[in-house]
Amino acid sequence: MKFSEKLIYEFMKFHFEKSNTRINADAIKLVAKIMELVAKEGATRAAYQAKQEGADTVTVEHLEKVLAQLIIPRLTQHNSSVERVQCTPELLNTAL
Amino acid sequence: CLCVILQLTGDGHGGRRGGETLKAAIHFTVGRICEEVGAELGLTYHRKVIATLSEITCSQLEHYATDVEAFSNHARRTTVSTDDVKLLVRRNPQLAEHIKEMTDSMEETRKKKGKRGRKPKIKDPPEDNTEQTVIDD
Repeated sequence: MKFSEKLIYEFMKFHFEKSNTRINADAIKLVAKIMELVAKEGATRAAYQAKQEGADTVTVEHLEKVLAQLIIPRLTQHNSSVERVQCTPELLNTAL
Repeated sequence: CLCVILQLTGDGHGGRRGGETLKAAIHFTVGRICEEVGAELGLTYHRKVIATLSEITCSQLEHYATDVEAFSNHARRTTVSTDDVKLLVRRNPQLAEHIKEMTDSMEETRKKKGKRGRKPKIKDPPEDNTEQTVIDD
């Protein structure tokens, strides 16, 4: 399931501070892909948390536990092992 | 239907009321994505989880919109380009790589189209892919 390009365009235009800002067609496709990954990553991380706890329904408690890793951007880029833990390739591959 | 929702959004642009329709459309898409992930992993999602995830998506998109506008404004442009989007994801190496691959493949298809168009039809002007706009109001 992808985000509709028209939706992304309308949403971004709504939140642009200047009314004359436009957006390239390719840029819209990229942003749509990024938002799809944001949603998928959130859903996948919460699902993994639920699985770890042996549940069959993903609840808000599961989501809360993974929220920090989801929202807080990485502060440093030095420690490559930390990066591997936070966003593992399999997780991203699942999301992709 | 999503198309109907988006058409309504296009017409009712007076005031901030259009924002709710947009959020509803995002909520719908996030719900479908959760369904897909859930189907793959054999789980179901609680309604509140989908609502929270769609709130997160909306606020992320809002931040991205203002950031990307600031980047293009900084480059003295009025149109947001793929370079601005690349700058947006620079902090996440895997995502940055994926976006770079997408950009490269889009550029390749654009070049191929340009070459095909240039030779047989001399009267058509060459494609200019620096400043392209989408849907004009």
